[in-house]
Amino acid sequence: MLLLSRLAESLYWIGRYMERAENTARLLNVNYYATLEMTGRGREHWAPLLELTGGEAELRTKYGRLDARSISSWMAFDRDNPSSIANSLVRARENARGLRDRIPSEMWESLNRAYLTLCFENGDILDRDGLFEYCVAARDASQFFFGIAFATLPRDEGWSFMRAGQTLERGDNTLRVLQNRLKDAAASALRNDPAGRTLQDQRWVSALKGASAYEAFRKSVHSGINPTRIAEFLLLDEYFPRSVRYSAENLHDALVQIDRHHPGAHPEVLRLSRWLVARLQFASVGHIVEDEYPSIEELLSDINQVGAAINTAYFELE
Amino acid sequence: MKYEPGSKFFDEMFTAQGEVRPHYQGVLDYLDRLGVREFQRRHELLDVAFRNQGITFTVYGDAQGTERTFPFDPVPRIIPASEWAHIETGLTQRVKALNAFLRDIYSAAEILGDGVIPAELVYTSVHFRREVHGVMPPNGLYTHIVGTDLIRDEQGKYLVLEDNLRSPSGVSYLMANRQAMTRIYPGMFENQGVRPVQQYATELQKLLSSVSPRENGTVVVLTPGMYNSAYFEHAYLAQQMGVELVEGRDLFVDGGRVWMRTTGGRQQVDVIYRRVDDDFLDSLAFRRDSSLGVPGLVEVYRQGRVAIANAIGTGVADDKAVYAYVPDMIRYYLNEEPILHNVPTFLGWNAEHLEHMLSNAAEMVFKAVGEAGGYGMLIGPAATTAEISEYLDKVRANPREFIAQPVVGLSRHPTFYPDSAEFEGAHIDLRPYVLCGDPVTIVPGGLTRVALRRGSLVVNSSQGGGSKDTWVLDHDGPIEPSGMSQFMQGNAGGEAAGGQAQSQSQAQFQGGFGSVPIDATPDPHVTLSPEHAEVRGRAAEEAQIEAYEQSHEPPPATRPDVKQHQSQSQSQSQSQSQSQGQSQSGGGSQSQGQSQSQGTVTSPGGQSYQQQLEKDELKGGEG
Repeated sequence: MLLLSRLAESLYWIGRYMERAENTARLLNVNYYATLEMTGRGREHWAPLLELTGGEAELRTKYGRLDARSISSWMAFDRDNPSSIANSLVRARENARGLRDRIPSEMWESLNRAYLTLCFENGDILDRDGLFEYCVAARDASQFFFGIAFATLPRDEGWSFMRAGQTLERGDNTLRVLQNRLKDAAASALRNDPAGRTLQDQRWVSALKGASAYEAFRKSVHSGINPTRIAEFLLLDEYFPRSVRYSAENLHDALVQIDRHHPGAHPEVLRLSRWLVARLQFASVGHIVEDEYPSIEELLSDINQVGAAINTAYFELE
Repeated sequence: MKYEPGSKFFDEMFTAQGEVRPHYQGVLDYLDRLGVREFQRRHELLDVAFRNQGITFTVYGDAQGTERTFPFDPVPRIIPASEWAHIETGLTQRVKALNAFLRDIYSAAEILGDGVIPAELVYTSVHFRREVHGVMPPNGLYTHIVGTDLIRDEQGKYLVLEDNLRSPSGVSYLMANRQAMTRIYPGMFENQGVRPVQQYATELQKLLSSVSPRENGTVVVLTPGMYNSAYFEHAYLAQQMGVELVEGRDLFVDGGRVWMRTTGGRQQVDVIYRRVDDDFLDSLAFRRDSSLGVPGLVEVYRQGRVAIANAIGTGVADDKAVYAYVPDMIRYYLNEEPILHNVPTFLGWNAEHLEHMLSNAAEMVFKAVGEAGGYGMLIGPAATTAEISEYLDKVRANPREFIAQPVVGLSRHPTFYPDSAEFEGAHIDLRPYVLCGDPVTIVPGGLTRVALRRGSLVVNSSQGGGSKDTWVLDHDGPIEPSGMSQFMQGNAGGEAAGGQAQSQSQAQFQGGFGSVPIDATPDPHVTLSPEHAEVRGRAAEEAQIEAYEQSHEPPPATRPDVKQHQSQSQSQSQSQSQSQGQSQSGGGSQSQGQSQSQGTVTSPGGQSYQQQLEKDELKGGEG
């Protein structure tokens, strides 16, 4: 059974957008609640998050100021922000609509319900202190969606494309969060003030929570909040499903599955994904964070290359 | 149930005397048992269910929330077995004649040579496609899927308003409506003998596979894309049939064959169920600016290496001027009398008709022949003098492009209005879906559209129209002694052009049209009124009642398999029907002169009307 290229592409992007909506929801939620207990200017606490997703200039133009409220609106439900939660859901749904004949009705319905309840919000929800519920609902929508897929979507090529999109997005996201975290930590270390250290610890905790890794980390590492161990956990942990390594391995597996449907047709894709996995399996956290060999930027670029290769091999027109 | 049927229009549920028709007895009892409050609560659940499933149609030019649910009324429209048999036979006859006509005009054109239909009328139709002249599609089938619009006049007689031979839509609503109804009002179906409808997708796939040029060919559904108003339906049908839903960009022509692009390279395509109009199908053959189609497709089709359903060029037979001649086609090709009649139609093309049209414009409905979706219409009784005279200028300038029909008052059906929490009468029509395989199959029922705006005759979804679940029963109603009438009518329906068929005389519609004789064929038979079931029932003997009771086992509660259609359905129906404000003098004022002299002016067809389904699926349909 062959798969239309357009549908393969849609499934891949559904995986990416749903994962992205979930990641953004986690980050936003964690950050919003972390800042409630912090002093200082909102801008300081929010700038890192905004750097991660981009769009500061547009946000400033639209809202005139950077504060908790404007950034939350921008990231949660602002449809002018291409990477807001609402927009990710809209795009995921749009892709799903284009293949609703192809995916189980239950998957479509769960996504459509999320669209109807989450994509038409405005600032009122902040006035009601509803951001937490909003983010939780977005996260749930994604988990529910993938859960239904896990239970009902036939394990054919389409499934593998969706998995590829999901795991690629996840690895990419974790890497970016870490990159951002390390940059901020380095800047703070230069300033060397003791109050800053508490703040830094808190931000490392937020980074873990943003990846839903806090509890798993605590169970696995008993040495307290140690930035190097946190980075190691998020990058290289063999068993945590949102670590970069785990995501890369899953990505590679999905691509191997796709390759089985047309053996050897696109060796470049597998070569790149295998290289990414190998780097993550053999590097230590010191290599990455201190020696920068491979650097996080390189790993990000490796992931992007896999994405580009998938695109060339399977989605581009004959 | 509190309800006022009124007497001006034919009411589907109640007789003029206010008695419930036997086939509605079960539903009436159910509604009385359920109570208005509970009925209303469930009604609200329906809309939520449709929304969540994304059973919507696209409203163009609306920024947010461009998808709307199609309003739905849960009081089902019910057709008893004998009536359905009549419709089924009539439609089967009609689609056979239409296919014969299409085969004929794209080859020897004998019907034109014999002067039955003016050649000029056919060759000047904008939907005539000389590109496919001489092509014989597989199995000789031109129009595979037909969605005929039927209406009932003031006497309850079924009339054909329009044949939709290109890509009729709305069938997914039919299935979605049934699915939603069985979920939310399961009790309504118990012991009613409702015939199932979900087999449509299976039948459609069988039909499409049967026209494949290769054994076990690959079937696809071609959609203009997800922004098309009927996208839901395209996706739904593809899903239910388990075939690929493709867009033009997924297909290409190479080496004299059609291929689709897949992750594993190209795969040959054999049958295309296209939901893209002729004009957009192939930018090399038709509109050059189309990006919805497949360049080179028509040449492959001419070579017989791909089948297209419906075939290219079928639109010529649903041209509104050609429509008027369908009864003549039936006589010509089948040597039968039409079982279902047309709405009387005056052709601008005909000088005498034109004169009548011009002098009676205020009482008629005018339509442009090539238009659909209610564009280019004039509703005489609702128009101002200035509007009429402006419109008539256009008619005079280009008479071929216009027809006119008398205004017909559509039958009404009890419909629930949430704002008043009451049942009120609303006008309805019916679109059954005919699959022209061998044998011709028609899913029992069709899409019943209802004009929800109070007093409106417009069932058009863009004008406040909605839909109803449509039930065809496997019997004629358990209450009245209808055993006899059931037998007789079923029988009549079974014979082509049988007694009942002929008895649908046009008597009621003659007269009232001034001096223009309307039909060339005298029909001596007596009309069976829509109350025929009861009339016959009253006439039945006690013995027959007994026989009926003995022979009539309670029908099984037929519920469609829930699994089969657990998906959403819905597309927007692009069907829009139009109708106009009827200042009624409709049926009542038209005299029923029975023995009308049959004149020499041949005006094909039967009654008039003012509705119509929009066939143009392409509006805004950039995939």
